[in-house]
Amino acid sequence: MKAHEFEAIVKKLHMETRESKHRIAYFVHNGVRIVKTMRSHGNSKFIPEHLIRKQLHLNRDQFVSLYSCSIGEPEYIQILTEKGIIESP
Amino acid sequence: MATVPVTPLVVSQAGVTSLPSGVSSAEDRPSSSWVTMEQTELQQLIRNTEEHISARPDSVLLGTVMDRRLRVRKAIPLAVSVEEDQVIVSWDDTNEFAYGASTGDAIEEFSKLVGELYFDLNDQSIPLGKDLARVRDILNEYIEKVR
Repeated sequence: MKAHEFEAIVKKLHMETRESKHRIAYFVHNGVRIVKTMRSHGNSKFIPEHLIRKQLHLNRDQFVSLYSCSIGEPEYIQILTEKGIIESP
Repeated sequence: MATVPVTPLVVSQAGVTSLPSGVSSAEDRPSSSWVTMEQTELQQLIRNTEEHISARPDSVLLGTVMDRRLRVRKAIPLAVSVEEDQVIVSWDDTNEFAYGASTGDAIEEFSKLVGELYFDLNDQSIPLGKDLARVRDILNEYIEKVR
């Protein structure tokens, strides 16, 4: 995947980012850090999509839907809740 | 066009190339086993052989973190793979990874990342969900603060 696709996901999920030696992004729900992903800085266009997908707990179809628009933040929360990553209230 | 034997090379894990059993030398090979091979096929054969004898390990144990405040208590097992000319090192238990142009670069990146992550996830002011709490617990099993 490309850096702009990574950034599109970060923006879409309103992830909290931190700039350091890497660009680290946390998905925060109700004040709790739920999942984390990251990409390296630098000129490399390479970002290993399958490893980002694994960190976000998404299968291939869900991941494609995430950056092609049919999955937004509410749907992502639902997916994580169904997987037990977000605890049900 | 190049003439090469059709008998496959046997390449061991250690990268030692040998002839298949029963074939001790070129003189022993029946003449029917010699065929002509297109250059592209020959190049592919060479590439495949080079992959088998690559010096890059499939896994490494990381024993240091690039942060003087931290010490590795237990070596971190990293899987090494290559994609699109980039070397990826990944720690399966935590889903953490880093990448670089060489194995050394990727390990260095991972070493920096894991240090940052240690402090991020041990920041008591920000609550963690169960998955990140699990990652933090694994990190704390492998890394400790020394100062």
